[in-house]
Amino acid sequence: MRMLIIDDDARTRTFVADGLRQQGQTVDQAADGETGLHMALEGDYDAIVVDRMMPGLSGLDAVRSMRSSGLKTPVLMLTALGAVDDRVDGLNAGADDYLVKPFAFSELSARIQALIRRPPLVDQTQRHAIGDLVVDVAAHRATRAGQVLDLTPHEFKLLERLARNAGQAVTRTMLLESLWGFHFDPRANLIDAHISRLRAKVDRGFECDLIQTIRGVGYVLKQPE
Amino acid sequence: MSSSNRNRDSAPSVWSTTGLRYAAAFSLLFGLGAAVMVAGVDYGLMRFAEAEVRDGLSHQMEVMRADADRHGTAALVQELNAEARNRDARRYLLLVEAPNGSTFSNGLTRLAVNATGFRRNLPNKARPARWPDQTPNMMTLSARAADGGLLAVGRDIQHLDELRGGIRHFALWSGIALILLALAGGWASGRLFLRRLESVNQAVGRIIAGQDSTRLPAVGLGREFDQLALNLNRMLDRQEAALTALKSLSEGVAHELRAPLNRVRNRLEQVAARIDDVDARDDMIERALAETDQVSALFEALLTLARIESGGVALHVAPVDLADLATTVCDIYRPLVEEAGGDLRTLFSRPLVIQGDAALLQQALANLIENAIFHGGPPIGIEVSTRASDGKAILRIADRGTGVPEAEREKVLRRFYRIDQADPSPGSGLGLAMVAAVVNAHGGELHLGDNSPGLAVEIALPQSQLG
Repeated sequence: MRMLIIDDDARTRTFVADGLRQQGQTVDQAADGETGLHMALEGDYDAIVVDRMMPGLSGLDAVRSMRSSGLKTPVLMLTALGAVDDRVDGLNAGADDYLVKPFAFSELSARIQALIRRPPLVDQTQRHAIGDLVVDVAAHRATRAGQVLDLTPHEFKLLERLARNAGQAVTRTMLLESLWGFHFDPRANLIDAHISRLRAKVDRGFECDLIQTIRGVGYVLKQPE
Repeated sequence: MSSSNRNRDSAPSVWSTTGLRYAAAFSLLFGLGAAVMVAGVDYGLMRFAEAEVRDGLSHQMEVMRADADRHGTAALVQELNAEARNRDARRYLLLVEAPNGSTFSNGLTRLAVNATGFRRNLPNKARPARWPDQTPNMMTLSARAADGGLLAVGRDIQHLDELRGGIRHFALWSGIALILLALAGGWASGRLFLRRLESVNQAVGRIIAGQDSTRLPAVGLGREFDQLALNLNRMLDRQEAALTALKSLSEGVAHELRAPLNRVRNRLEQVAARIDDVDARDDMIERALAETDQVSALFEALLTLARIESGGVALHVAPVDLADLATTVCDIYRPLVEEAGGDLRTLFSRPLVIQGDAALLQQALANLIENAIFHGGPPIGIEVSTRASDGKAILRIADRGTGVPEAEREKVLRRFYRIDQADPSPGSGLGLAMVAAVVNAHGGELHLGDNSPGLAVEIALPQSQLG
């Protein structure tokens, strides 16, 4: 996978680039919006990380230019501005996701993975199969080893979100945002409580646990090796 | 010291006061206006007076000419000479010269008249020196009689010039007097202003020097000035309140930051000390990271709160069904409550549509439920209900915890306020402040009451007319 990092802050850029390289990605860097835009349009990248506020061409404008040039590469926008309006601005400009500084690298990595995996909007996968678990989005039904799971709507949404990123870590923040639109940090371990309920229905009584915890990061739905 | 010196240096002198400047400007304007008026009066008056004199001369001339034409100029001369012996000075000066050489004159000379027509003789002093000093300041009219004799009549117009001079003198001196009066008035009112404003300036100086509680005295020059002082005082009150709030906020932030930063530091020191014990080290690092996350969350919450309170966040107002919103939030929190062995009961009357910002209302409700989770037990028993009452949508969250004593109910809405400073429960101390700000931004009311036992929070929001 080829990644492009556009950020005028050398430390953040190096931190993100080093982290991604350790995961085996090829990483290019740009220190300003103009160079970044040029590289994004010339190179064939799988994902682009762009800082929102840069002198010269801002991240918002760079993404806008990429989109108006027809570039469809997933873009994750980084920012020090975290208000809902700022997120909306970023997404309106054409970014696919939005991450507020300071962030944990695991959060960034999980979000990039989710972006790369995100199928084109038109043919959203309607059916996910992970081991003997089948999540049928269209029928709003989940089965494990042929047995129908009795899930509440909230539980189904959570399972579907995990299934959509099967094999990839999904962080608590991503779940809070995508499931309920919570853009704040609840004091309580809300996600953990929901996961524990979901586990009781999805994993209990079956031969292996499909919902796995990744310490310090979040959860992943996958067939254990 | 230096500030008060500067203050005195820059105190305006009476010569530069607005009152005096206005007085000077107005007296200049008045002077110009009066001069124009006097010039107009002078011109009009002279025209009128001259016309009178000319009429008089013409009339006199007609009488003389009628005589001369009927009896001849020589007869007129004779008659006039006879008459002059009986009567001395006449109003009109006459000169008659008959063709036979006989003449009559009672002071009018050939030099003062034209061959025919009107002539205005300048006063002696205004006449060039080469002219004989014989013609007084007069207007003359001359004509020829039928027999060729010269008829001339003149009238002294010295009095007209005197009148004119008098008017000019009067105008000049009264103008000067008025200007002086206006300047004196301006100076006096300027001084009065300065003296009244001096006390205000002194008060301002004290405020600048840091005596924040000083307020401006009444100016005492009129209602509008006192109103100004009153409004300025109100502004100062607000500023002081805002400043006090800011001070306590920065103290709060510093305090709230110190604790987690200290914990991060301690953890990192432990890591440094136990660098070889890989498991313990990883655990310490993870906890240190969690602490930094808490600091980030605190900042995030503070920023959001500040933006809501300052009106910096434009509310994304749309019709929101409060019952739907509460159902969702309760479903999100129910597993957590039940896992802790508590129960979360709901009673919703629906639909209950208001105009509001769903995201902010959701966060406010989440904060209240979290408060109930951390303070509402044990065992945790939470009731969330909605109802419509008196055109308002009421959202009520009640718990069965220790509640909030009446005296503390205002204070718990402040940032970082904790009833029990040793309270170990997590949280930024901003939850209720955020709720209050959100309710305020929606034009609603927040009420903290007694659930005996426990706390009952009621949010009343204006119900949508459309709903």
